[in-house]
Formats: sequence, C-alpha cells, structure tokens
Amino acid sequence: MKAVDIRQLSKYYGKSKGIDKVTFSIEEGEVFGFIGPNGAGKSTTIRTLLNFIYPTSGEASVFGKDIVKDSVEIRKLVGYLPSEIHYYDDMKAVDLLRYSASFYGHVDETRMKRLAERLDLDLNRKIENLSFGNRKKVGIVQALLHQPKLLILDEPTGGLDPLMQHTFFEMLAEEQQKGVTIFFSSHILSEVQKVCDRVAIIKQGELMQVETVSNLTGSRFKNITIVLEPTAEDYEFQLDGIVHQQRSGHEYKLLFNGDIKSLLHEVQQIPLRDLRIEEPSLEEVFMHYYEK
Amino acid sequence: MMIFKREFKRNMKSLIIWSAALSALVIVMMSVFTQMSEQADLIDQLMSAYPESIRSAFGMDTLNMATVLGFYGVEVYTMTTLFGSIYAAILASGILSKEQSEKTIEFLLSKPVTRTRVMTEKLAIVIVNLLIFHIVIIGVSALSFVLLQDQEVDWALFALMSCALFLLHAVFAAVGFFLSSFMNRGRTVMSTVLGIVLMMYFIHIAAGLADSISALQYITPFTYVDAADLLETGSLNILALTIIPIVIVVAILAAYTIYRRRDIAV
Repeated sequence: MKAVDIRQLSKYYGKSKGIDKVTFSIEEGEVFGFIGPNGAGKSTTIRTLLNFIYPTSGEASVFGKDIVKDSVEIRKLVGYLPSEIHYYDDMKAVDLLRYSASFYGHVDETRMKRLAERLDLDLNRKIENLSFGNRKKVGIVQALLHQPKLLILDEPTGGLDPLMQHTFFEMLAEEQQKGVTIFFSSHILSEVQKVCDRVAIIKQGELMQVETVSNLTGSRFKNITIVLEPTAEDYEFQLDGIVHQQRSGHEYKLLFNGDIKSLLHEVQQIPLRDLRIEEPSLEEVFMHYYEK
Repeated sequence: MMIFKREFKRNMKSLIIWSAALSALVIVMMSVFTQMSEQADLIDQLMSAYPESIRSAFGMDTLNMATVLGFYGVEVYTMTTLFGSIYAAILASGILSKEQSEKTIEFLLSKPVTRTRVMTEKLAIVIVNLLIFHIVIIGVSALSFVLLQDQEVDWALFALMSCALFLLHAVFAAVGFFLSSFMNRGRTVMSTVLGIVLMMYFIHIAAGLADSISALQYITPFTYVDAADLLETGSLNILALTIIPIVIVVAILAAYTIYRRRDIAV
C-alpha cells in the first residue's frame, strides 16, 4: 500500500490556481521531498491532504484512506508540522503538548520529555514568550509525540539554528528507521538532497517531475562570483562547464557545472581579489535543469 | 471533551466578569427601588421627569413602577436584555472565529476530530456559559426581591420574564455563531454582531417612539420579549415562541452546514 497516493488533484481558489492535476505517490517508509519556490502549491497540496481545504477535482488517499471521507482516520496516523506555528498564547508548551496528545488517546509524558530534552526546549515557558525557533521546536515535538506513521513537514527547518537542524535530521533518521514515512516539503534544495530518497518538484501549481535525489545531484551547478583587482584588465573565462556568464565592472558571475579543480586552477592565474562559490537558488537550477 | 474543557477555561474569565457586572447592576437598581418605595411620591417625580414619548417607548406608561416587577421591567430588564445580548453575541461569535484569527485552527484540525465535533463542543460551551450567566443574574434578581424589598412578588411572572431573557440572548448567540462559521476575522465578526445587537435595540426603541415606523418593530427580537407586553398579558408573545426558536435552529444548522463544507485557510 502507498503511504500517499495523489491522482490528478486540483485545487482552484475561485479562478486562481492553487494546484493543477498533481499526480504522484509516496511509498511506505520512504523519505519524500517536495520542493518548489514559495507559492508553488506545496502548502496547498498538504492542506488538501489534511482536508483543511477541499479538492476542486481529482482524488488522493493516505494509507488507502480517502482524504475527504476518511479524514479523521488519516489524521490519527499523521503528524503535521506547519510552516508557520500558531499556538494558543495563554498555554505553556507542556499544556499545548498535553492538549495535542489528548486527541490521540493518551499522553506519553516520557516521550514528550525526551523529545523536548533533545531539542533543548523548556516545556514550562509560555508559548507567547517563545522565540520563533523555540515555537518550531514545540511544533516538532507536537508532530512526533503520538508516534505517527506519516510525518508531514512543511518547511520544517525555518527558524532552527544549524546545530538544532542537525539534531532534527537525526531525529528524522531515527523515525525513518522505525518505518515512518516522511513527506518533507521545502524550498531549500540542499536539505532535501540530504535526507530524501526521491523528490517531487512543483512549480506554479504544476508538478514538474518526480526524481530520485541521485539524479538531481548529478547536476552540480554552482554560482561562482569572482572579483578581480581594480587594476586588472578585462578578462574572458574560457572554461568547460560555464553555463552562463555575467559581468559588472570587475565582478564576474558564473553559473558553473564543470570541474571545480580546473576552475580553481584558472583563478590562480589571474589577479584575484575575492572568490565566492555558492549553491545556486532552486530557481536557477530548475531553469537550467529543464532547459536541457 | 478536550475542546470543551479547554474552551471552558478560556472563557471563564469573561463569564465571571459579565456575570459580576450585571449582578452589580441588578443590585444597585433594586436598592434604588427600595429607597423609592419608601417614598411613593419619588416614583411619580421620577416618572414625570421623562417626556411622555420616552415613557411609552420604555413601557413606563403601562408598567406600574411602584410594583417590584414593574420597576424591574423598566429599570433592570431593559438593561439586562441589552447587555446580556451583547455578552451572548460576543461569546458565540468569538468561539469559532478566534481559532481562525489566531490561526490555531490548523493545529486543531490536524488532530483526529471532525469539524462537527469541534463545532458541537464549542456550541456546548456557549450554551453552558449562557446558562451559568442566566442562573447568576436571575438568582441575584430573585435574591434582591427577597432581601431588598418587602412587596409580594409574582414569581410565575418573574419566571416568564426570565425565560424571555434567555430566549432573547440565545437568538443573538445563534446569530453570532452563524456569522463566525464563515467570517474569518475575529474583529470583523465581533463588530458585525455588536452592530446587529445595537441596531435591533435602537429599532425597538425608535419604533416605540414613532408610530410611522412601528411596523419595523417586528424585525427586532427585543419587541418579542418586551417587558410591558409580558407584564400586561402574563404570557409570552406567540411570535417570541415561534420566530425566535426558528431563527435559532436555522442559524445553528446553517452554521454547521457552512463550516463543514468550507475551506479553512489561515
């Protein structure tokens, strides 16, 4: 049985498109990435799966259960971490978590404490006094506490510092070991690459492609910024793998997917002042990925 | 029961404040009656201080202000109907829309509960809070009749007025609940429903003052539970017994129908 099976799912808000005929499925136990720029329809898809919003057409099921008819049954099996955390301000973190857990039957206090400890979260603070990152941690504990079979994570790392992100990914790996399916939505390509087996790419409400991560990472695009000394003469880079070149004054911007060693070799020969090598934005990769 | 418990706690403070404030109002007004009934001519003075049209608008011409229920009808009941309606409207309109405006609804709906269940537990809170509110203010009124004055009280008539009070407040609660089933912003819902209450009250008063618009009085529930009418006839108006319950049932059913089918987006 598929953990998530989406078939020709569309959601229109009046005339404006949320998602259009999205089709993909997630195997049980898989870590599945869902990437696309902001406003591409990631949250719309998730909200439809959880029946916050009704599909305009098409259908979908989670563990074989229909998202509209069997929504309550589905939500018993799902842990959901929204991209923006909004909880009751008057509650302490611990009250919120107990309230949340009470809907699933019983409150596993030991698991709650253990999860909070790992994330370095003080459960006795009032939610209104928590920082953005700490609220996110409450959200993470809330999503994991009742041991769901499917985790739906919408932009889960926003607000977490790098150390916490590391802990968080460790926790996800442990959940996966236990057979939990993870649906990981993000606009950050690198974190999706890090944890996911496969990814679905969505853009302007339409599914572009479902790819294995190894295929995606096969294209090693880098954004290279090279600044030359003010005295330097005009220079033309002649390297294999330069997809796109742009120059303003002594600053050269390259989109590069060639051999990094030959690039470094070349920059050694020129009057270099500064060099930056960055991950290109998702948009840039997609643009070139799909042009081919 | 989780949502019920949670909402009970959350709404406790405003229940206490509103009950205490209206109880205080009842006690103050009834002690005025105590003082006045000792000097009967004071009441006549008080009455003649109002222009005749005002007297008729508030039913002072037909109500005998020297009797305890007559005074209660004019000075207390008119206040409790208005302020109680405001409380009922705020309570009921906030109960759903608050989750929406504070964006906590996504949390709640990601739990394994149906929307019907969410609404039912929240509606139960409205009903329970309204019941407690009425028990307090009706109880305080009854106590004040016993303790603050020595006339005989027609308890059956008082019970009738109390039922009318509850019916009136219930209809505004139902309207508030209905509005919050599709309006997203807490503040918009609250100002809309407060506007409705005040408008209805105003129409009730205005229709009593000017004969030319007296037909308008039938659109406001305040007319159906008018104190002068109740005390004169000794029974609840047939319109109060039919139209008000129908409006309550329709508003609640409509709220369920809309809320269960709509998109909840924050």
